[in-house]
Amino acid sequence: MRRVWIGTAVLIAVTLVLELSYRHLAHAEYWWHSLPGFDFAYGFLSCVVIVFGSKWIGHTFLQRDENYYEREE
Amino acid sequence: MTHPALVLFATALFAALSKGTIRRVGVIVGCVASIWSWAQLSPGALWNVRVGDVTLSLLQVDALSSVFGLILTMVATIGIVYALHNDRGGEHAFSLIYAGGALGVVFAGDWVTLFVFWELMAVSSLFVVWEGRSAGAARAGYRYLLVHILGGSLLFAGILIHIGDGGSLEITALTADGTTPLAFWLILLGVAINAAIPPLHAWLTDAYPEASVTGSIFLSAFTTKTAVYVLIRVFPGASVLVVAGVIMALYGVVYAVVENDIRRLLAYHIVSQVGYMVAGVGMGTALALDGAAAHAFSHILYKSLLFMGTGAVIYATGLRKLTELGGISGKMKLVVALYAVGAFSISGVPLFNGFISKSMIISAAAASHRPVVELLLTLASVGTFLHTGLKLPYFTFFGPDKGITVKPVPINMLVAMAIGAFFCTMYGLFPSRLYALLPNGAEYHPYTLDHVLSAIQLLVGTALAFWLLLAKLGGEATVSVDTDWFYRRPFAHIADNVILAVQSAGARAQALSSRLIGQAWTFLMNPVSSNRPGDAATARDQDPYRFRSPVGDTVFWVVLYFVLLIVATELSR
Repeated sequence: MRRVWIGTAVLIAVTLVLELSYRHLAHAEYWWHSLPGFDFAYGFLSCVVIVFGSKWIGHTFLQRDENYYEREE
Repeated sequence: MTHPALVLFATALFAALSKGTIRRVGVIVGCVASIWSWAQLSPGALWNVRVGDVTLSLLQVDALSSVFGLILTMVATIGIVYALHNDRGGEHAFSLIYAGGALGVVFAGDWVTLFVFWELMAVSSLFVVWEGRSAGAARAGYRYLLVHILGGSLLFAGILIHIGDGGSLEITALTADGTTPLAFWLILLGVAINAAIPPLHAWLTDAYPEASVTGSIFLSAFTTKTAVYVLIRVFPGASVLVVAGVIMALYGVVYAVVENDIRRLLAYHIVSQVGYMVAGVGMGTALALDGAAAHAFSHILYKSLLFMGTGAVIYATGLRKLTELGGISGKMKLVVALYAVGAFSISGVPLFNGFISKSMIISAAAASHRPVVELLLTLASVGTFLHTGLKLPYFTFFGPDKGITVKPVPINMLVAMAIGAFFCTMYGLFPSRLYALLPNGAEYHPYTLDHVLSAIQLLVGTALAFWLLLAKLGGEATVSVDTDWFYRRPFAHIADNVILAVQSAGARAQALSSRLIGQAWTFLMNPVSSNRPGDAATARDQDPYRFRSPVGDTVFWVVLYFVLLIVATELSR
C-alpha cells in the first residue's frame, strides 16, 4: 500500500516538473491552463464534489426501496 | 456494390431460418460482408428510387455517413461474435435488423427514407429488449415502445410540416430561422428522444439493463449514435444543444453515483457520454463537429466493450448488483483485463481511444470561448473515470470476497471483447486512422505535452479522492427514481383509473339495459298480453307462433301473385 502512495506522489511530482519546465510549449486559452497542478486539484475536488453532491441528491430525492416499482406494477 | 443495410437484412433472414453451426458461420459471414460492402461504397447519391412524384434516395454516401457506416458495421460484427454461443435465432435476427435499420438511417438521403428506417430501428430494438425474456423486460419494453412511438410521431409530424411548407425532401441542415419553427422543434424533439437528452432519456436507462446479456451490446450502440448522426447532419451549431449536452453529461454522472445495477450504471454513462457529442454538435465549429463524430466512433467501441465485460460478469455469476458482487477478479482475470481497456478508454486515459476523441470536444469548447462548458465537461469526465474506471470494477471484481460461484465464460464472448479492446487501443495509439475519416478535416493533435500532462493529473487526482472516499462509494440496495417515474407512477395511476372508470361505466350501462329489457320484455314478446298490463303471462300467451301465420300461407300468396301476373301478361299480348 505504501508503494502505491509513493508511486502516486512521484507521478504527480514528475508531471509538475514537466509542466513547469515546458510552460512555453503549453497552449493556454485561459489562466487555469497554465496554472501548475491545476488539473490534479480539479480532478480531486471534482471527485469529492461529485460524490458528496450526488449522494446528497440521491438520498434526499432519488433513492427508493428496491421494490418501489414492483409493488404497483 | 450494395447497401450495407441490405446485407444485414439478408443475414437476419438467414439467422431466423437456420440453426446451429450453419447459423453461426452464416451470421459471421454476413456481418463481415456488411463491412466489405461498406468498403465498396463511393461518395455520391447511389440508389435513387422514384415513387410516384418523389425520388427517394436510399443510399447517399459522404464522409459523415461513411464514418458512421464503418463503426456501425464493425459493432454489429463484434456484437454478433459476442452472441454466437446464444442459440436464439430470433434475437440474432432482431439485432441484425436493428443494426441494418441504423445503417439505413445513416445512408438515407431524404426524410422519408430516414423516417422509415428510424421506425424500423424502434420496432426491432423493442424485440431485442423483449428477448430479455423476463417480466421486467416485458414491462420495460412496453414503456420503451410508448416513448418511441411518441418520438417517431413527433419526428414524422415535423417532417410533414417541413415538406408541406416547401422544405426540401432531401436531408439538409435546418436552422430555426430558415425553417418553419414548428417543424424545426418537432424534428429536434423527435431526434432528442432517441439521443436520450434529459428529461426524454429515461427509456434508455429503464430498458437497456433489462435486455439479455447479448442484446444489450446492440442496444448500447445504435439508437443514440444514429440520433447523434442526425443531429450532426441536421442541427450543427444549434446552440440549445450546448446547454442540453452539458446537462446530459452531468446528469448521467449524478445518477451513476447512486446506481446499484451494473448495466444501469453503464447506461447512465451512455447518457453522460452522448452529452459530449450533443454539446459538440451545438458548438458547431469544424473541430467540435468532427469531435462529436469521432467521439461517437470511440464511444461505440468502448461502451460495447464495457457492456460485454459486465455481460460476462452477469453470465458467469447470475448477479447484476454492486451490493451482491465482489471478489471475483481471480476467477475471471481475462474479463477484468479486457474490461479495463474499455474503462481506460471511456475515462480518457492517454493511449486509448476515448482520450483522442473526448479531448477534441473539450478543446473545441475552450477554442470557441466557452470556459464554463470546458470546465463542466471536464468535471463530467472525472465522474466517468470515478464510476466506470474505479467504482464499478472495484466493487464488481475486487472488494470483499463474497464466495460467489463463477461459471466459465464462452470463448466467443472473450474473442468479441478482445476485438473491441484491440480497436480501442489501436485508435488510441494511431488517432490519425480515425481523424482521416472525419468529414470536416479539422486539425487536432491529442498527444501534446500539455494534453497528456493534464489528463494524467486529472486521473490521478480523481483516483486519490476515490481511494480516500472508498467507504462512501459502495453500492446501496436502492432504485433511483428518474423521469420515467411520471409515466410509471402518476400517469399509470391516471391510466388505471381511466380504465377502471370506463369499465365501471360499461358495467353500469349493462346493468341498466338488462333492467330495461327485463321490464320491457313482456311487452315485446306478446302483443296481446301487452294490452292487458298486470296480467300474468302464460306460456301460451308467449308462444310467438300463435300470432304468426304459417310460412305456407305466405308462399301460397306469393305464388298466386306471380301466376296471376304471368296470366295477365300473356292475355295482354
